[in-house]
Amino acid sequence: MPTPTYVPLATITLGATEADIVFSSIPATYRDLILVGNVGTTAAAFANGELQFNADTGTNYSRVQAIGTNVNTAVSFAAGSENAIKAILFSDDLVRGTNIFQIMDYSATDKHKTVLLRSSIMPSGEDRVMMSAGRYASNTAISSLRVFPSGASFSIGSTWSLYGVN
Amino acid sequence: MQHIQTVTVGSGGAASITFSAIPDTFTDLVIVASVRSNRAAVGDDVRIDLNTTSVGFTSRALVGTGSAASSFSSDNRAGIVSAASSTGNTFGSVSLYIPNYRSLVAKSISTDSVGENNATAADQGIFATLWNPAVHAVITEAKLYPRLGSGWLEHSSASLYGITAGSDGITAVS
Repeated sequence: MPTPTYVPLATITLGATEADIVFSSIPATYRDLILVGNVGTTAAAFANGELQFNADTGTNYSRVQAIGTNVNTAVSFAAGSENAIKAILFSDDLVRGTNIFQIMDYSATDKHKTVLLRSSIMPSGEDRVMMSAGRYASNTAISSLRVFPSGASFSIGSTWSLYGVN
Repeated sequence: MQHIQTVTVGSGGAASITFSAIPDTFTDLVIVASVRSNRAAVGDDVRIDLNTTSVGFTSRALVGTGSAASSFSSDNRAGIVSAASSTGNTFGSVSLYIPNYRSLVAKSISTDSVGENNATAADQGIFATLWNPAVHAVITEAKLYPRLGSGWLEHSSASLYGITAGSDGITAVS
């Protein structure tokens, strides 16, 4: 029997604006997690986003990212010892973007957790495409995650879906 | 993820690869392609039409060429792949993710792609593409074709998959 992929774990479509989305009680059954967002925010143009695990707000996160910007430049930067993986872009309320996060070996207890992130947003005049990698410096299995825009809320109609991959 | 259809280009090549009559039973769509354009160059871009139209598209790309990185905006571009002058028997890879394809709002597409070539000049690109026509509709057809070449070469292929969101009854979301 083929190994199932993209096993649906939970999904939400927002009926009201929300400051954050939290997935909890994530079973340690799978190898990886994939979180997919089709998201808008209340930001005027776009919003930066953050991802935290296990309600951990300590400086246990780092990131590296490369962006294709709305002014035709390619930029890259990195940061460490932050209180979240701050390598996410969210679109405005007019056109939703796509955010895909791949969390590798999330249930492992012998390694830090790595995340591959993609953000594709096309708000008018503020379009950006970004690829990022993040690290959560903890050997604890991930059982919850929180994603949120900085200085804005997720718009009505935004969707987030979590999948397990074996 | 459920396989819906695979199209393989036969002898003589094909102008495009088209998925039609896409079922409306999934949440998201994924298209994975291994293609080689007949353009007489190392690389070419992938264009996507949805529901038989190329109207209403904008895109933003981040591309690396092996010697430089750049970003540009365009229309219905959704990937960069190998073409006829790249290393023989080598095909570019493209993966397009289309969330909420049944929604009646603008559609967002996230693409990862590469034009394989055994040389210092090889292109890799990520794309954000938006389909925002005057009238929104469920996606029922997707067509992939080269931007500069006139078609895909033999052995090019693409597969369409559907992903269904849901709950396992254990994981909570709020």
